[in-house]
Amino acid sequence: MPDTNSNSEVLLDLAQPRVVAIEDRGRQYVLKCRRIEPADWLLFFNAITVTSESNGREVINVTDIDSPRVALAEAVLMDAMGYKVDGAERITDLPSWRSRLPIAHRRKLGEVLSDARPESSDELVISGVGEVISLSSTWTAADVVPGERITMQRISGLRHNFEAPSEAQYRRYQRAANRVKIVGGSRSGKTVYMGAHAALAELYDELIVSVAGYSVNGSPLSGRDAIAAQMDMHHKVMAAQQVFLPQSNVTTSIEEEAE
Amino acid sequence: MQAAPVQSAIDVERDTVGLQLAVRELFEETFAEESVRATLEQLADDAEARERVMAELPQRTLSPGYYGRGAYLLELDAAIGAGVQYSAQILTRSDVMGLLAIKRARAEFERDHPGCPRCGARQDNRFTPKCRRCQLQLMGGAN
Repeated sequence: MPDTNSNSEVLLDLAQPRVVAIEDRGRQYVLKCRRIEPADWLLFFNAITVTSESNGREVINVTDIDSPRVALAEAVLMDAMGYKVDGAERITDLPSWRSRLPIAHRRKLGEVLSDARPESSDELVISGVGEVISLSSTWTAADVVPGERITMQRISGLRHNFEAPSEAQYRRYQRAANRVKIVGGSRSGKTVYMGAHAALAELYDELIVSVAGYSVNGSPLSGRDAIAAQMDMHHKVMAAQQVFLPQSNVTTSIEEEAE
Repeated sequence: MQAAPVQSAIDVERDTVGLQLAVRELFEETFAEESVRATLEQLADDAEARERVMAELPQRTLSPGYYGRGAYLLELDAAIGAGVQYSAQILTRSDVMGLLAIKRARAEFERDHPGCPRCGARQDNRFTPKCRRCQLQLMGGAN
């Protein structure tokens, strides 16, 4: 992927098509994608497989997220530029053109499209009303100037302000997170985790109070109903997950005993 | 040629027998770890000896998902025990069946590891003649 600029000043526009620039063998390719709808994300989440099996005292966990990323990329791609094609002017003129893009390009595109990660701020500030979660995301290319090299933009400081969850909501999350099936027998079989993504998206809609850093067609996103309707489902899941299963950076300083 | 048998997936939420066994194993695991904690502390500098002690601990026999669900149910059980009241809308049927499986697992564990009538320490088995903590004579078995 080309250089990524980090920026917390710009608003992430949820309604605009996403333009992703990738690089391969010194050449830049530009991929344009439509908005990713909740149905696309549900297909993506449902296709992620997380399995776990015991090997003596060891537990081996395996996650396959590559295939869902490729499927997501193929589902939302609208245009591809920069490819040389034999027998056609543009790659999009070819039948089934999306699946003709190199697998590494589709995989990289899927990786960028599903890039939203929790951001730890330098300072811990306790909210008086609930939980504040910050995300950063590589969303789309900065300004696309024809003929010029494209830089991807990493947007930071995407804030989600939540009400504190109730015990009933916490219970719903826990239940969803522990939904599993065993394939291959109860003893030596693989545990297949069903995923709590859909539950997290629902809980997000129930708990979200306000957001900062997002817009829809240029207007800042505000109001609980509008946020629930417009927010990208992957961002919902990533933010809600931090409320229910926060990553911990907590350590203790241990003074070494002098010898 | 015989067709390979088709194995259907097990829904752990509904497998109350498997959950009972998993929770029982979690109880046994905690009990065994508590029993060897002092030994492990004494062997802090002897990695090999520690490994030997750890190898003697009971092994889990089921697929990992049973223990995750079991831990969820134990936490739910602890919350109820602490006085949190859940309405029928919050608890599902599988939660209730799971809680009953925990109750059975706990009864089995307490029967096999009775508490000392004086100090309350759980014993290695029902037939131990003397309390492992306070040395009370158990007259052919603990409670």
